[in-house]
Amino acid sequence: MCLMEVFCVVKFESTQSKESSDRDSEVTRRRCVLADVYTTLPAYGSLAFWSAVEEADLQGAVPLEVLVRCVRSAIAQGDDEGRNRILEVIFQRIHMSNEYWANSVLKTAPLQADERKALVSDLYGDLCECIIRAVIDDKRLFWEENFQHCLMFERKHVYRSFMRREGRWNSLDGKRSERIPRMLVESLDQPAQLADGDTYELNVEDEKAQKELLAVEQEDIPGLILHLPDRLKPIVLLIFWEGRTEKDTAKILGITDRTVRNRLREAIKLLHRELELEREFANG
Amino acid sequence: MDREQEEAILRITAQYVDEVRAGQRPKVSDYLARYPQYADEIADFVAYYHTVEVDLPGETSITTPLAENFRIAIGSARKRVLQAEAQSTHKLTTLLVTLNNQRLTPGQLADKISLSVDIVAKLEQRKIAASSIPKEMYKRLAEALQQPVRAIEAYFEPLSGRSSYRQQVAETQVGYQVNEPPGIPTQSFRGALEESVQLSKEQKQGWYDMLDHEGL
Repeated sequence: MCLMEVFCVVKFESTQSKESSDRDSEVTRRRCVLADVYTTLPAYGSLAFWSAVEEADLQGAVPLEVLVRCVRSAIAQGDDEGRNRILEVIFQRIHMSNEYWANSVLKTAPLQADERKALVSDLYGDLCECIIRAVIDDKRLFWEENFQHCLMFERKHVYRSFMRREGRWNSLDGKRSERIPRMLVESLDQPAQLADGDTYELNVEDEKAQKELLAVEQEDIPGLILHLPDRLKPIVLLIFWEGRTEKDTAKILGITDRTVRNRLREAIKLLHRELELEREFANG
Repeated sequence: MDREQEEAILRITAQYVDEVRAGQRPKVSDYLARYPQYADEIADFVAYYHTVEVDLPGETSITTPLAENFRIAIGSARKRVLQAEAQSTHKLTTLLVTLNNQRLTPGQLADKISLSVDIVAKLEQRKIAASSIPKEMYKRLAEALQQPVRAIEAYFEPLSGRSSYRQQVAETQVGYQVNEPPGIPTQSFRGALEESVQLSKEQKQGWYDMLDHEGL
């Protein structure tokens, strides 16, 4: 199905709540607006077309989603020069955001100025490569619908790959990790001898420490979670970010209480290990 | 994760971001409960979003030219993508090799493009003159082999007239299986149709109409 057809498909199911049907209406409206902008563009390759595509003022500029369609149209017509010209416009319009992103993800890394500059350029280059690949791939339709969100996702992938490649995945944000409540970490770090003899499972009952974490450090919790393995993230997010109980968490995720406890313990151990590494780093 | 799942996660997380930007305080638990199959991916995104993205500036007007290092980074990125694209066409050394990669037999390919195995074999051996092959044939082959149309066209171009695109393919044909001496006698596509004993009358007529339509 081509995007034009997708744009015009409106699904309202009787069982949808008002909220989700409002959301659907908004999405449909947005799709139609983008489709209208694309279809009313001057003929491809004409002076008027390039004038519209290269409009410098953001107020009158062609949406990025429409530019993605234009890139794909240029490719379909075999116009490599046109493709590159439109890509150039896209990169200029998202440059500041990408530059800011590249600088901000490396800001806490202990780097010399020249090393930082080189890494920022590498990170930026990796991101550009991924953006080009995505934009020229006409099967990735969501780029024609919500460019900024796709860009965010691409940056997430690049950030993760880059950090892994550079071996920096666990060496960032030392200051932040210093703020993990010691009481909570220490209580969880002791193996518990349960009635059934299972020593790998700890009951996280230090509610005081958990509440302290939620109250004081909530805004920093996503950063703590970011470097954990993916399967541990939902649990830590629900318990520390939303203040859910283990029982609630188990119910929401459709897993057992025991799995929740085990994963939580694993997550805290990893955070503790990170903290120890950072302490060693800080002490030389 | 396949493309469909990726699109689904994009849509779900886009809604979350819209709600955050609208000043609402969406509950992650609602999202995780609604989409438990994507719980890990949603949690990963939420953690990343609130750590890195939430305060980043959005799109900006085109004002000053980019700094040199960023311009170089974009140029290199573009070069890497284009090189990778070109390399992907190197795989089309022969139709049969490409068929193997697609897990198709020559018979299945013939069915997919409404031809017969005997003509597919001639195409494989480049015994049919490129100039006599209808565009529709290239399109069908490209679709069936999941290759760019340009790569298919380049495959059939005669050695002397090969574009740089084709030359790149030829230069890397270390294990090439088909001998192609210069001046190999070739047949026209129409001639191959007429000669075919496997193609039905209806199929032949369909191709004749197409050749007429394209003036071949």
